[in-house]
Amino acid sequence: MPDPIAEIRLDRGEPLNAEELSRLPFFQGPQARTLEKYPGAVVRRRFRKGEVVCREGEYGSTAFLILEGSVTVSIGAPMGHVRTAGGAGGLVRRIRSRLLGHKEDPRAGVGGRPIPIDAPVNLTTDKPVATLSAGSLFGEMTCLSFYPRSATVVAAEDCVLLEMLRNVLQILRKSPAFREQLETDYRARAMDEHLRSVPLLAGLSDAFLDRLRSKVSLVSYEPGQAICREGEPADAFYLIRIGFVRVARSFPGGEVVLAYLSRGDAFGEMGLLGEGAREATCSALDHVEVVRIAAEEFRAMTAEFPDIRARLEETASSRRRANLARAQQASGARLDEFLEQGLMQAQSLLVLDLERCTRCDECVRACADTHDGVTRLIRDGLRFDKYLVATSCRQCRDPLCMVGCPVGSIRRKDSLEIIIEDWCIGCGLCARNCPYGNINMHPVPLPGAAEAAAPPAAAPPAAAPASKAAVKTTRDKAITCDLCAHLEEPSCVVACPHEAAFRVQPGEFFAERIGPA
Amino acid sequence: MLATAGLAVAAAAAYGLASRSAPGGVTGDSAAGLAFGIAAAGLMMFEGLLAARKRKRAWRLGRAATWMRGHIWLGVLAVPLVLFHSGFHSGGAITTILLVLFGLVTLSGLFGLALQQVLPRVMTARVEMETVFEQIPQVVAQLRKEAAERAAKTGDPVIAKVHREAIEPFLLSDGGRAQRLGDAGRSEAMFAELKRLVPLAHHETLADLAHICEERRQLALQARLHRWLHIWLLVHVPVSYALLLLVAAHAVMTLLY
Repeated sequence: MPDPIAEIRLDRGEPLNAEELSRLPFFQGPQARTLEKYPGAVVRRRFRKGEVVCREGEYGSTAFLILEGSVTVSIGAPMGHVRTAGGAGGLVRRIRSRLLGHKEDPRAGVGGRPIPIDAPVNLTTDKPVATLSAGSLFGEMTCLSFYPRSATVVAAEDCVLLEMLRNVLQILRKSPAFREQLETDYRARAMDEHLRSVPLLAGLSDAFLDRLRSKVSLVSYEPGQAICREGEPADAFYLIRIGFVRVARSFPGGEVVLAYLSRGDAFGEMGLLGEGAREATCSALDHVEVVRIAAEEFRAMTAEFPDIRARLEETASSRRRANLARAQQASGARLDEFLEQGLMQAQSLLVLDLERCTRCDECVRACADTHDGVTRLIRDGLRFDKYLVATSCRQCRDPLCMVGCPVGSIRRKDSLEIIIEDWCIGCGLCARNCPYGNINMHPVPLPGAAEAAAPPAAAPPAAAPASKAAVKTTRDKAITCDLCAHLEEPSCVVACPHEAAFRVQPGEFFAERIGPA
Repeated sequence: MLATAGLAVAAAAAYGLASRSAPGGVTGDSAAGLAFGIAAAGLMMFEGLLAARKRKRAWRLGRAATWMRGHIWLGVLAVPLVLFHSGFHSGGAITTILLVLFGLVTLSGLFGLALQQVLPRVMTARVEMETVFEQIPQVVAQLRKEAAERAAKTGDPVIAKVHREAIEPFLLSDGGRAQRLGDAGRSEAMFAELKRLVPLAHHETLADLAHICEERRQLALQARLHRWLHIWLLVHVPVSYALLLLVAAHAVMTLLY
């Protein structure tokens, strides 16, 4: 049987063999030999000036390394927000809704704030365009965590890019030469902008940045790995470069999630400014990379820049107040429950209004009827208010189920639904990774297995059991809700006779019920 | 609802006019009566289609909720039409049986509708530990196992005796109020009393056992409510089929004879 991992190939560009790879920077040595196992997982692509490399909002699974030339990174979506200008009815409101720029309708705290994207540059709302040159890597978060592309990338001149799948990127990230180059590039090109883009650190002098340049380090964390733990001595300040960080604190009766931080956010100042111990546990939600500033540099910075110290203290103080309030609400706060249940991660939830649901299970039967008799929905799960969040795929923003699939068979299509490709090897890793138990392993008959398992007509009856035991007739495959994407609406919703089943966006649907964050 | 009310008013007006013009009033074999009968039979056939719609869940034949609304409101509309068709008389044996069956179907449907408005709210409010109905026996088996393990782990003779003589029989039963532990108040009092009899170190186990009993009580309540939610269908569905058959027979006999 062929190795399934060898099946994964990028269908565009020129595949590179080990010899060609070994001539490229960062791929010398053992990396090139390791990559021989993944032919087609890294390709060289040539783009003419003006050609689009990737578009914002698209789902993908690759990262790009610029070998020659440069690209323009931009956000094409209009920079503005929809404001509804009142009106009596829905139609009137819709007619009067319009897009307003941030200058026309300024929002507190937005002015001049950089837009974090999946590249070693930030964009701004005023000028959402930047240029990346040879040696830059972009698309890491899409590649590692299957997030949608954050920006549109266009060739600024004729250029050559390496496009790679996650297994290649991970090998690259482990390469000391690549890490060193990444850090050097970061210090030389992106660090100033990154540090200054953090509102807390605005006002750092060039001289201090020069001093920091050789002191900061880039540190990577795997999903779930703790970056710092509550109670431990505070020894560093962190800026997030890639990924999402979960901040949680222990309280009597359990752990409460205080916040989720993303690229551009900073953490660790409370321990350094306070009593010297960490006040919360920060852990990587997905593949995280942080800029680590050691305690002594942090203290030098706060000593030299009183304005920054004042801002940090004010932030630390307000975070403490918020944490205290959160602790007081810990037993009853619905926001915490909302977060703990992972509902904020979901993009589409199947909820059942339990006050309408007559427990007739028509939704479950409809799901089974639509999917070859195997339901992908269980009418059980967590409750939030009067709603049951049914055990059915939530189409998470951060689909942890996709992390680690050895054959890349679980992926997101160009829309919300998550699909499991035919080449799933049934290892069950995605089912274990799904925090909500929404992926199930189902035995499916192997082609031709029935004939192989059946005893020959002439065989004596005693031989039959041994024959059946020896031949495996089924193979587990992962199944999950596909939102009935081929239909207008999910079958479970259409089949509910009591209008109790809905597919909803949790943020909008539960907004009134969770109150202000 | 408005459409149903409007159609019912229109039907009533038509019945009033027909009654005035016919000296003996509207009867089933009069033109107006026949029209009412055909309309009522049509509605009954539509009512019967809900079952077919439910069997073809994967087909896109409109939302089941729309069908259900139609089933309810057109079913309600059928009541005045049937009465206008019969001219408020029961007639012969078959038509009397028809009226009785129709009454049974209508009343059982309305009863079921009322239950479906009330019981899901009760279940949501009072059964926090609800599980899938078919899974209740498995969950109870798990509760029994957990209770036995916790009681044995203490090695305390009082807890062992209470488990053997009260908790295990309660978990094995239907969880109803006939059992001492089936009543939340009495259960609480029993566990409070037990706390005074066993060492402090075992109070946590007692709390676990009390929680297990509470879960069993909730599952028992869920089972009762679930049965009430669906038991009316045992009358509504078969009587509906019988009604449809008799309506067909009634129509054939009327047309032939």
